[in-house]
Amino acid sequence: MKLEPFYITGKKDTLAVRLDPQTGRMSFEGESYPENALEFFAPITKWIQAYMSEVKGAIVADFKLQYFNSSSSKCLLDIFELLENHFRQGHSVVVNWHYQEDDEDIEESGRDFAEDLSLQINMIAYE
Amino acid sequence: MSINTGEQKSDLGTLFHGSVPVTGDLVGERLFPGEVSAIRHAKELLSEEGAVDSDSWREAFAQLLDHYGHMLRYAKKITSLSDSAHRKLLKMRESLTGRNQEIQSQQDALLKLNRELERAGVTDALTELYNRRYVYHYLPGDAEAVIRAYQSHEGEMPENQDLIFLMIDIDFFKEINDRYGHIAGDRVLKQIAAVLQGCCRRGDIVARWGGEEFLIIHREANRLHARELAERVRRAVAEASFFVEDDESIACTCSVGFSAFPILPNFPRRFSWLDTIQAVDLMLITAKRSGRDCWVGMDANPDMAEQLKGGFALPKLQSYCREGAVRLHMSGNRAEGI
Repeated sequence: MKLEPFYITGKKDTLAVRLDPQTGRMSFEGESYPENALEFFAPITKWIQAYMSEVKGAIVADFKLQYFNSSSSKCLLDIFELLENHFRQGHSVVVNWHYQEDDEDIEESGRDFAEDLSLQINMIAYE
Repeated sequence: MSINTGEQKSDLGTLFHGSVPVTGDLVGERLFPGEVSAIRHAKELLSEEGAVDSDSWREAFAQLLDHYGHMLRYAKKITSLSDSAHRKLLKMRESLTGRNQEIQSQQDALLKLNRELERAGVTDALTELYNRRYVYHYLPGDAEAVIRAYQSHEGEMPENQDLIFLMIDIDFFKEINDRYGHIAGDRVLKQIAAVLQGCCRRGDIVARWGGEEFLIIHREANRLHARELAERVRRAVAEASFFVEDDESIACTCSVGFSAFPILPNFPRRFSWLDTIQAVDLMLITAKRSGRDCWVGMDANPDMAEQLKGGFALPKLQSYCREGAVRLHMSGNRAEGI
């Protein structure tokens, strides 16, 4: 079965997510504080797991987040764990963490995600 | 590790506390299914009857350790991430509060400016008396209140409810300007403004009507006192001395035209406050023609209200006078009629 591209438009409290099986590009953008973060992220982690086991390709993941609540951060940690495992299995994984220039808190969050991982995370400031 | 976000139900409470059964949605299990299943496995091992081989213990223990370490890393990161998110929200709140205060103080400044502009808009810049705009803006309300007072006193006339209008013009003012210059003229106007204010009570209106023309409106006054009020103004100006230089002062006189509003007490709506202005203007002109430094006033005969219709243009006024519907009052015996 062929893995379909995954696409969700962003809402006030949920991320815009684009997952492309062709290029291995994954992007997460916006704010995340839904009622039920587990429910929102479940199909996303499922898709990523499928990509890793079926396509077994390279990944470029872009995170451009402004705010996320605690349960969303748990789900994001799961995604980072998947990326780390994929990387350790010898695949190319590039992670870009975008933060607004003067947003120290989101910048620090990126460093928190990067901590303890062998995976490199590029910190990219935008205006 | 396994990521399992499916809807699993389990008795997490019994896993931790032994005998207490827990039912319902267990967020802990949904958030950390791997950890919960490791605990469940160890628990099962503990409850098994008879001997359990050491490899099984070792395996369960290693699994627990692994999950425990994983949980610790997650706990640490989630704590730090939550702190960051919380800090960010607090900063936003702080900046919003600051912004709000800024807006509030801008609003206060605008309100203050607005009040100042409003005041400036109805104030004569030179004399700081009210200007014409003030009169046009506020007098209709005053006049209406007076009319109502008259209408609510059927039969007997109310006391001290009249507005008394005095139109005042400084005699030969042009000569002051020509002789001493406009700066000196302005200086005299300011002093005259002060003299006129000295003739009034708080609540009366003193306005600069034109160049050297002033309007006084006495409120809550009695028409029977109109002549005294006019004479008071005439005398106050005539008796004052006005500085044109720091060491030089001159004398001035003024002419006054006056009348009371409502012009017809028994028909208070017959003539408007603007008609009254028109009437006192003509009275002032009459005073000027009568030789200046004097006053001329008028009142209407309430018994001839029938004849009094159609404003106070000069020809009308002349015919009112001929018919006796309007009587003029003149200071001294200077007046020569209209």
